[in-house]
Amino acid sequence: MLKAGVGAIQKWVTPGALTDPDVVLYAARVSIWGRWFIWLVCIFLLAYRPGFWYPEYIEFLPIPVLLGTLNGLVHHRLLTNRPVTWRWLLCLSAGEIALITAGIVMAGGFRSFIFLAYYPSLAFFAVVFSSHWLSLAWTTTAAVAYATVCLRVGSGLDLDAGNERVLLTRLAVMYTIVLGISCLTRFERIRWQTSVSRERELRRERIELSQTIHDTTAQTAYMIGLGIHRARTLAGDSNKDLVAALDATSALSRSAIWEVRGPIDAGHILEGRELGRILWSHCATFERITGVPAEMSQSGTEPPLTTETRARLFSIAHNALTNAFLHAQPGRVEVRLSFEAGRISLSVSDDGVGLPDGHAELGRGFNGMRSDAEHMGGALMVESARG
Amino acid sequence: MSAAGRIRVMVVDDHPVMRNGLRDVLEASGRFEVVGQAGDGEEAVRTVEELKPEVIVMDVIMPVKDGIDACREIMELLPDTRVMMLTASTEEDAVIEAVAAGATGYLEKYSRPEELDFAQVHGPRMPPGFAWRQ
Repeated sequence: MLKAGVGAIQKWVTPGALTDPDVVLYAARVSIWGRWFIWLVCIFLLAYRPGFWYPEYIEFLPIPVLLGTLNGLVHHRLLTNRPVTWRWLLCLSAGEIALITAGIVMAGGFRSFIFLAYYPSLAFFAVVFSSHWLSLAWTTTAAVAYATVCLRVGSGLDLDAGNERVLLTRLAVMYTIVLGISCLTRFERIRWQTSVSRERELRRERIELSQTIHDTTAQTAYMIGLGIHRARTLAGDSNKDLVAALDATSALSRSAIWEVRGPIDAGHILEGRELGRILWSHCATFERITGVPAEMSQSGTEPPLTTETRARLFSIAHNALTNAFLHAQPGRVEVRLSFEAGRISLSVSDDGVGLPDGHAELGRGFNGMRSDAEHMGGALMVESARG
Repeated sequence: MSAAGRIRVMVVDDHPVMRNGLRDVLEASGRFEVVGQAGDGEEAVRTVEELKPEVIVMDVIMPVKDGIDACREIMELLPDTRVMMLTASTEEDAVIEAVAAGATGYLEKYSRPEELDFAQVHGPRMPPGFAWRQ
């Protein structure tokens, strides 16, 4: 029952597309860059009107530093392609609200202008979480915190001076901004999702066409291989040169089949299948085609990964398996996929003859794998018994 | 069985290359006679009563009607026919669906020739945990 309750809350907190990692990434980028933009505007204002920056405000310096650090922390995860989930963005907003409120407390409550920082913070919350209800609930939390601070800290509200009307106006501005941004975000997200869906549809059509071509090629190569095998059986050991030629051609047909299976299996990534499942199937295909036993193991639960991340990881695994098959003469191959907190590890190992010295630095295969790993903020490590 | 004592087989695959290739390989073994071919599940269901094959080797993914649906309908028309599904994927879902539809086994596409065990066409094997319909 508790699990169901948590699930219902999670569904409410992550409405609609926020379970889609591509949408979270997009929303995170917009809100993070938006925050930096606000910082830039503030710095320009301070440079233009140095009078805003009184020396006594130096004690508040930790507040903007911490706010910037929070934003920088999430931005660093984005830049290093580490997963940024809606939980991270919620924590960022919560941290902001807490720091802004603390700043207002330090500044003496109602009279402080720090309350202005609530506006962009709440606006960026609405950018990430497009649910009107959630945005309003979050705004109410901030409004209650702010009103409480105004009433209890310092001299409180001066009713004779009409402070209560000013406070209500400030709170009303909070709600207006959040509702406005929430509506704009929803409109923009629908527009963006329509555009993404159109792009995905085009990519799907291209992939289907590619899969059809590759599938036909693979099946043709397979049938050629069966024909060669038949010819090899008929030839027996009568002609050693013929047998050698047929064996070499048979190996070539297997190599061709394996090469074209790459794009075919990669097509499943766009269908939204989990990487672990695709790799498991790819390893089974590897074993069937090459005759080399391939074992796939996974530890940890696969988090929602973007299409690009899954495609790059698949490409690395396919290239590593291809290298093993073509160059290592392995007796067996192991693929290990591991998901730890914020970290993905993919290992492809074999018990073959190893690599020659310097081989890891050469060739398109290794360069491509390294490039894929670096694009995801990771690194490629090559270990060889010989090289 | 045919007059020559060979097992009557029908091959169903949307790729002509695969159909013709399988026909050649099966007939070259000397144990099978390919009595018909079909390019999709619909055509297979339409012609199966006339051809009356003992074994049908059928692809899973095909246009018009896929192998799973075709297998289900063929089992209603000719319950004694053994259907071997041809699959490029060993994913459990495809195998489970095929068994539920009445298939008696599966052949893996792209298996190495020496490992392509056509003997299982008349003595099929299944992964552990599956019960065979004999």
